Amino acid sequence: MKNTLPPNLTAKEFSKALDEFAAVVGKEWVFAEASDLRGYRDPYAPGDVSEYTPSAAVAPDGVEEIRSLLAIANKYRIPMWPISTGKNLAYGGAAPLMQGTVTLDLKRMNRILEVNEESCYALVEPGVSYFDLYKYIQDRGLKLWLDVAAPGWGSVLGNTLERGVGYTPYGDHFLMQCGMEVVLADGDVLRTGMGSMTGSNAWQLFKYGFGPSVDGLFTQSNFGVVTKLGVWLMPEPPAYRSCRITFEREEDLGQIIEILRPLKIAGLIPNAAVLSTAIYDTALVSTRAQWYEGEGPLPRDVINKMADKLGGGFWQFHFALYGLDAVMDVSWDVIRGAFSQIPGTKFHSKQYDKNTPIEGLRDKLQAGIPNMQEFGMANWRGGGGLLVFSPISPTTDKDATRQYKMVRDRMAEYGFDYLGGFVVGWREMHNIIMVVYNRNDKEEKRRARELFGVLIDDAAAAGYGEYRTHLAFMDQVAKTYDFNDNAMLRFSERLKDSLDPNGILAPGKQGIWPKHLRDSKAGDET
Amino acid sequence: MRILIVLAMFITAANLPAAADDMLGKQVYKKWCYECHAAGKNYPGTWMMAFKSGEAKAVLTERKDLSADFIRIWVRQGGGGMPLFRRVEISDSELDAIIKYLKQP
Repeated sequence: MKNTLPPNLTAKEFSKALDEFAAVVGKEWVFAEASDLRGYRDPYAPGDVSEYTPSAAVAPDGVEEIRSLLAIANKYRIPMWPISTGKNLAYGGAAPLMQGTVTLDLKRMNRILEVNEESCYALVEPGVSYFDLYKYIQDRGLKLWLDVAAPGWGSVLGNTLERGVGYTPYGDHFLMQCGMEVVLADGDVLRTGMGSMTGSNAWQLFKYGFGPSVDGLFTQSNFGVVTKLGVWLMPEPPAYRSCRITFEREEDLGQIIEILRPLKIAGLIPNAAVLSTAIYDTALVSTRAQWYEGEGPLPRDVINKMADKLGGGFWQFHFALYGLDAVMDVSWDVIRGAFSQIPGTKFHSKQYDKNTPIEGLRDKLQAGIPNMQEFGMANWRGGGGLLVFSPISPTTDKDATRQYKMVRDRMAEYGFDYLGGFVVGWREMHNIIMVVYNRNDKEEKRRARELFGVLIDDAAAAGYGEYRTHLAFMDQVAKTYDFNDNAMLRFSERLKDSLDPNGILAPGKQGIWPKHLRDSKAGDET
Repeated sequence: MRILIVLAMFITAANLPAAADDMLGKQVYKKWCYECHAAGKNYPGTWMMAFKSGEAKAVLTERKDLSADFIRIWVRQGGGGMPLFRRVEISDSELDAIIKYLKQP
């Protein structure tokens, strides 16, 4: 593996820069050997994994060290790609978008700075994973629940900045964020909201402070390095009921969605619920080869067998109720009554009280217990490779059915199974579709990449945009947000030029390139 | 008596680093490996290994045939659905401790 140098630097100059980085963080925290840089690539890259490899990585342990590193990066014009835990797998993992970048690995900054039980919040650094925060809360017996992304090793801060989702009522992670500390490219440090007032004790309580609210600018962007993040936590409920409703027929989708929408908006279904297919739930715990050895999408009789094993149902709807028994009973009755209109519907629920151990993927996720079970999906075709296509859909029959059929048919055309489901928010759904491929099979990997590009175009042509994407498709997705000649992207570029004139922070992230690379780089990665 | 005390001190001192290593290995295993490789159907590393190599080889802590190099390569290079781990996550000494923990009789 040959290391690429940062743009316009000689090997000697780069070596000097690395020495200066080492003087800041210590030699042991600067990584430039090929064996170390392997860990900063994307193992699931839909192409050559060396395509997204940094020139080096440096791991600071604090804000002052980050400021010093950015000063050096500005001096040499070295691009820096910040990562939190580096587990943004299926979206690029720890890898940078552009070769010649140095990864700013924030994993060592893993302090849980505060957990406040009275007001139910936490303040964390980038390297804190969901496992870490959960353990901290459990070890101290705090009466708090957190909301977790499906793989528990993800960063609380990183997932929130990517606007990831979880499965409790706090499932919209950015919605539950309150207060940030950010190091800007020039080394200036700012705190958002009430944190911008010295001595305020409401930083994690009130998001907005005084003047413009800017937290969103530091999500899915390259305008600063977020070093602290406040998250709201859920008070531990007196009881929790995990519910599953199964629907027999594929064509039930539209009716399910129409019944679901008012229940969700009214808050009767309080959490980020999941409507998944039987194939999706099966792929969490088994490989494709255990069900079917043939090429092309799974035949219907195989899908029926999967549904039978799950207790019936092409569609599996997972959600939860929280609180007092009497309140949950009423909600459950209303929900059952509403969905009973659909023939063949079956209802399941399991109640957990405080001392009942919680088992199973959905039951754990809906109770904010981090685990790695969903990661089993990567095994589906053998060889482990995964991209996530995630367009947003209105919660309507028309949109959900259109999006489902569009993606299902296109995936079948390319020989892939529709492994998908809808994560249901208040008024929209994240249609989460796993494009699972064998990363050891070059042809299959090529097909997966081509399929993904086509899915983005199909969705955009129908008016659907992705909420998040892999490095390889950031320019393509950014261009689909095209109102008024991509006014939003142009606005981001103006901010980029102002806040980071040397373009050192995460070039190309979310399609936002610094001025000097804008014409040459944008759109050349697919 | 003095000889016995000295001998006891020697044995204890000699065992201390090994005990600390075992403790570290278990802790690091619990932090980084357990959630995919524990015994049970809900752990993706375990069920995948059961599928590929059979139930007898599914649970890492029950394996007797893992070489140090095998463990080191899988941790540092990954493979299949398993991504690799950086030195910032698992240091070289922690990896040695995991190896020792998994290879203990």
